Amino acid sequence: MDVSTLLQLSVVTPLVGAAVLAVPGARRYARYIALAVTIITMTLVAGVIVAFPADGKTDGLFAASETVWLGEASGLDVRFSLGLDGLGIWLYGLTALLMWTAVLVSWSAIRERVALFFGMLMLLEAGCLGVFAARDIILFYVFFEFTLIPLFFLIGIWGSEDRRHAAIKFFLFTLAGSVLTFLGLLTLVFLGAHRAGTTGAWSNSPDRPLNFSISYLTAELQSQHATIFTSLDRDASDTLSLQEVLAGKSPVRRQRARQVFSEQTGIDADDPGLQQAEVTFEEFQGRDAGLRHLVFWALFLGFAIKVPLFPLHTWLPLAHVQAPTAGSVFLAGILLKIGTYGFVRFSIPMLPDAAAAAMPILLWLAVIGIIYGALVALVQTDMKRLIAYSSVSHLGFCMLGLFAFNRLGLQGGTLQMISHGISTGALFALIGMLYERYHTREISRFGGLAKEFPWLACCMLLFTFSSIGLPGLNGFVGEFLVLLGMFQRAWTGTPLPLKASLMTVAVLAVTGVVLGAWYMLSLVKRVFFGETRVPASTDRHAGEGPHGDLCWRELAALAPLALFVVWIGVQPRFFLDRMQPTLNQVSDVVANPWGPAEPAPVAAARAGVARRPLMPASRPSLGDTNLRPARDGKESAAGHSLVPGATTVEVAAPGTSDLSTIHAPSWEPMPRVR
Amino acid sequence: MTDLIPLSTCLVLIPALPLVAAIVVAVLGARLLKERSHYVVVGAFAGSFLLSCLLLLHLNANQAGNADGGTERSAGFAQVVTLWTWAHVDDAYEFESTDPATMADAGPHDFDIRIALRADALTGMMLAMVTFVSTLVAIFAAGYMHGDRGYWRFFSYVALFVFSMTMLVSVTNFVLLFVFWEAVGVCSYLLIGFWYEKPAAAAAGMKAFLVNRVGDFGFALALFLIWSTYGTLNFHDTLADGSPAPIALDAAVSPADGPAATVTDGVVRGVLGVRRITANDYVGGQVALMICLLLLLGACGKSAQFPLHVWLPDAMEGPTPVSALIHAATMVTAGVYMVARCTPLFMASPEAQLVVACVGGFTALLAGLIAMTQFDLKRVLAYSTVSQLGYMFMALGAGTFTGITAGMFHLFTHAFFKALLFLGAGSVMHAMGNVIDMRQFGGLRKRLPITHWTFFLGCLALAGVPPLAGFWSKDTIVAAVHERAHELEHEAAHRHEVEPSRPGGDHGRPAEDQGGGGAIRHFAGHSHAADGEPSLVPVALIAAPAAGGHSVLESLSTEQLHRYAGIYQLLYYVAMVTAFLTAFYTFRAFYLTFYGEERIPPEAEGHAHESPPVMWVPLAILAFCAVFAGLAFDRTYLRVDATHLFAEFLANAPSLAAGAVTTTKVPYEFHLMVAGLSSAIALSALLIATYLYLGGRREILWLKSIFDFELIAGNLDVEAVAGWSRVGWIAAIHRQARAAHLGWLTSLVGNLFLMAVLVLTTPFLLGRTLSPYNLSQRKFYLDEIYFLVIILPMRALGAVCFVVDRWVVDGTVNAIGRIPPRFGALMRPLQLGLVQFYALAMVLAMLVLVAAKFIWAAG
Repeated sequence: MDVSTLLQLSVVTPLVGAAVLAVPGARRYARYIALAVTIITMTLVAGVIVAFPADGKTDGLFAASETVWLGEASGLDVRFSLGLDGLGIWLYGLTALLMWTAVLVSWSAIRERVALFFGMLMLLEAGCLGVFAARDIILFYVFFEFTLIPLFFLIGIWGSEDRRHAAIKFFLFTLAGSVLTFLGLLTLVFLGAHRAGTTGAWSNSPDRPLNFSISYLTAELQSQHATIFTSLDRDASDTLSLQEVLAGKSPVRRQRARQVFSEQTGIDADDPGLQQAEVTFEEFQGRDAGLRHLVFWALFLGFAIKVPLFPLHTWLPLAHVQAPTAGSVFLAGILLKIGTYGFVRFSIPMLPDAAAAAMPILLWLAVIGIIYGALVALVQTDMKRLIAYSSVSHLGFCMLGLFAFNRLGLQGGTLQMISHGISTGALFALIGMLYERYHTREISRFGGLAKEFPWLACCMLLFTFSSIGLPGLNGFVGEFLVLLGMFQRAWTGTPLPLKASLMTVAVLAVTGVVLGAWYMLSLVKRVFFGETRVPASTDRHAGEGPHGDLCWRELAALAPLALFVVWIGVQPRFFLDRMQPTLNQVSDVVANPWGPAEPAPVAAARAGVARRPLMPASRPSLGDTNLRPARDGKESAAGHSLVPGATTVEVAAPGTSDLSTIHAPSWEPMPRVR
Repeated sequence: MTDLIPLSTCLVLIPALPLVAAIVVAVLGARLLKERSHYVVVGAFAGSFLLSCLLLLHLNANQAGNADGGTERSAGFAQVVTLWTWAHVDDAYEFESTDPATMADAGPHDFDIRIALRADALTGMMLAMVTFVSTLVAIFAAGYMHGDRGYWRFFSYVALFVFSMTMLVSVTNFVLLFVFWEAVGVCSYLLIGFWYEKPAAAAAGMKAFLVNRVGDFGFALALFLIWSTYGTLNFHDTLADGSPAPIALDAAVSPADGPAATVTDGVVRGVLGVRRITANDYVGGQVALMICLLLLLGACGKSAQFPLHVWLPDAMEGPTPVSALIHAATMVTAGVYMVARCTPLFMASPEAQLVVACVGGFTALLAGLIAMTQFDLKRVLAYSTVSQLGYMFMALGAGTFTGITAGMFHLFTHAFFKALLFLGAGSVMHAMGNVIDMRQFGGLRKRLPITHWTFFLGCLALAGVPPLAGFWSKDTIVAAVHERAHELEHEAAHRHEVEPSRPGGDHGRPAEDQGGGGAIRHFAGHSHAADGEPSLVPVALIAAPAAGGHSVLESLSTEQLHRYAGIYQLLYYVAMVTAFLTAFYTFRAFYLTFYGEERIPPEAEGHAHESPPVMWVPLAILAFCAVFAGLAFDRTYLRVDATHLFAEFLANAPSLAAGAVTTTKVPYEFHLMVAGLSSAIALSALLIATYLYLGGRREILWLKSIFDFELIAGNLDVEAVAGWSRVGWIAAIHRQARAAHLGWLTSLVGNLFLMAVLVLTTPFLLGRTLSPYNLSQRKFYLDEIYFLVIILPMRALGAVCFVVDRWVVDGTVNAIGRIPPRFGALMRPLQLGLVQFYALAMVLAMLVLVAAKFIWAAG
């Protein structure tokens, strides 16, 4: 079967499962139907993942497929477009994997409205699979919002005592953010349509429909960015920072841009192409720069609430504590990742300059989250709330990696998403199992469980170790790469004013590792070690649930997670390689958020070291034309007079200069990447 | 023999066997193996030990061949065996350099971490030691743990530990070093908390893990800094694709072409790779200092050095074989191993070396002082371990070739006699029904004759009595520290001679070090050989000629030289004092346990007898090693052919064979003065302990009363004062006063009096709390201080954050959430339901609109 069909089927299967569960006669077998659907989905997902190229290099998208949704006739080219790349592939797989755990832990824990429960779970799975596979902004947003509904009901119907409050808070809080996100996403579409050569506003015409494709927008917005910034970044004598340029305070820079372009391409200053360049540039740095920042923060609000980033996290502990076990597993495992996924999918690659400007703030929020989450977790008395706060801490690590803006950080952050999903999902499942036996999650009421529940203790210890980032297990890899990336960013790629700040962030983040071990190990110590102490079961269902140590069903629920915990820890390359090309594209766009770091002589001296171009050139490079000293001409003269000494461009011999590999910006609209 | 199994196979099999054993026992232990679990484990350990011996033969053979062949010494240097790639990120690091020396490294570096092992002398020695001790301990444990509920679990953990430890010493990059660094920590956590039902054991396990995590925090920071500075985390040189580079020593060790020629195109020079070490291309200044101090913090955690030593004594809650294996002989030496491995990094920063030495010296003294008053036999040994590890760090901090090899030598001999002492303590514990408090038993020499004699030999070795193993290694350390002080003084004097006119301030400090980040330059041809001072001649015995490295002392000013020399001299005295303490507390414990009148605690009823052969045979073997390990390897006492076999073997490890450290190499010699002094000190301490503890317990009689300020504080007691109110006549007065409604007066007087007494006695009480005896007995209150200064504030901060979270952060959210309903509530009165009102509102609104239009138009 075609891979793209597999992908489509894998998203549709849970929906079909939910529909089947709605049939009145099927209710008696709801659990088995749910399990069957889960296994079928897992098989389909596994099929897709196995077919994914091992080096992650796909030309364009993997398993891409699309159908017209809102036709071009409407002027809105919205498509039902699915596809995977290195960023989505593992999250997509994780969704199917955690579904297995979620179904099995709910097996005997859910006794009321069983069919409805599993139906909701299926819908949730479909939504999550869709989010990671969607390649169209509208489709993404549909899935993005769609995940809220089943989870709302899961918490509101099958939750604990305070479930209604928790469900409403969860729903409203995340919805409030995502409405702004929707505005942001739409603006991205307009920004994508708004391109040099199409002077004037976008018009709703059938011949130029708005393009909602994520791939198109990424490429388009990046090329808009590169158009301006490659020509400026690579200016060897440049002493102004990118941010100054962006602030639009320097007409001289604008002048320079035109001049550099003119020199590079040999086009006259009067050339219409050049005038176009100027228009684009002005738009880009003037009105659009402000707009892009605004869009970034709009997206930020929705994604950051999902992550959740400090101080937008308060819905999380409440939702976790009240949610049924399966809901918690999914919430921690997948739904939080949608936020981080959104940052890597939209915010960073599509708005590199705005992301760069926001980076220090986000890094600080992330590191505050790491420490704050850990400190609060330290004093919790409820196991689920403890793990919920630990999620705040761990997701801080993810964000730290993503916003370190280098290859190590981004890959580490993405791997950390997977790792956190597995280990925290498993921890919630374990706590659910304990809850099923004793109907309490108060840490102080337990003690010394290891003696009676050796398997439970063993699993708990394994996933605790994984959660605290023990080397050899999954948590370590992501955390290590994230911190490595962060240090590299702070120590080598930061201009002086920010350096101290980022160094502080980096060092503070590492303390989170110590604190993490502290609260998790003291949880294990208090619950599983010491003298045996168990609460008297008071529930009306007492006697119906499982007793004693973990049963086969429960072990089966955890076994695949344990497998991945060890696998990722021992052979992370398997996972990193598949995500690498996609993430490298992202990180390369923002690798130099503050413009070129190296002084000119070094660049010249580093002959022979090939550099990767920032963007693949869309037409043959014109870069072999070397920069020449500013010649006569009105503009360059003006440049001279305005910035004394700054405009003399060094002559470099062909092939020896870094500047020679600059790719000339393309001024034509990009071919549509579909 | 060596042809039978190639070196690479040996290297892989040594950790693989324990790993397989661990898995087999974990899977089959509970159902199938049960009480037979130890067969698998002991077999695997023994196999690993034999392979380690084979590995040593390989290494030795290669070195012997090299001695004839001149520069062809590839196997003596690291040989790398790659298993698989752990993680790989293309072009992760853009190495930028303006410095011609490091230009060769410039360009994009991949992040390439492979599961790779390497064998060099350092690794070979550690492997042999670890597998040897673990084999014996596993045999001992088969007897000691007999009948325990978690028998198989114990052996599975131990096998896992040995796997991690053997990996730790064989891996060839910092990431894996860190991986197994933490892995041994986890095994330690699991084994300390092995009897998890005991709250103390569970708490001790957690404490060990967390304190180690603090150390790992430093270690991790060091790794990140190394990555940010050098752009690689591999020890060995790699090719562009990440595979190990051929060693090409011909180019590497020949200094003639200068450092530039040592760098082949396309080779990424590892942090501890041959090329970098030979060229001595290490960043100096602040960065080096920071990296080294952070590495030291990591080492302090694992090797229980101040201020992170607090976990080790508590770790004694674990089963005794674990204490012997992990917390005395092997894991705790990981820090020492790591610092020795990173010698080239430390050579770049004499300040850091000084700190290492100071930390070591201080810890040695502190732990020695604490050990003097402990009553728990295992804790005495634990503090003794901390103290001895302090010696090792002191040696490493001396920063000379002699010092580093002396530290490693002490690590080696210490493993034997400390494992012996712990297993002896285990044997005592086994006989005493798990009682380990020395106040509850005594005079056991008749009941436990073999344990007594082996323990005695262990004590002699630990105390440093010649000619046992401890004497040789400790003596080399003391001599190395002494020598270092001399060397620094000499260097200062030498400078004064050469350039008397220049002021001392910045003298000799190379310009590129000023910025704090520049690479250390090479001082070609710099040598002390011309001085005519024999102890300072850099002897290019095996390693690169002197010009390859340079004297790091160049980067120090004369003033600093004098200051450092003073500190090293001080450390020399500390070492001597600690030697005294060591001998004293060792024999104190020995006499308390085995001499005096025979006392046996009730728990031991019925089985207070000598242990079975499975337990005493390992003791005997270890005792043999404790006696002869020093004599066998340290041949400096020989008149003819005086050599230090151990040091000479280690000299083949890349970290010690090339680069700056070679310039500190001096001929092996036996320091008669130092040796005599330290033996005299050890013997005198031994005699004092004999006087105090053999026979009557004199300590209780007068020693304690002096050091505990008993005379001063004994009679002033607040409780006694408070008790006065119950004394008959005072109470009677009070009753009378109450009757006369003057009760308040007497109460006031009484309370004032009580307060006065309190104020007056506080200094005495404080003095008593801080009396030398109490300080030592209560471990200088470090646990309490940590609790008050770190743990409590953190918990409080957590609680504050939680309150803030609930009321401020969430409060804001809720407040925002209440805005729409409030707004709605404001609007609600408008919806009256009266049609007339709506009509009126419509008309009014229309009027307003029209009026606005007019005004607008008019304006």
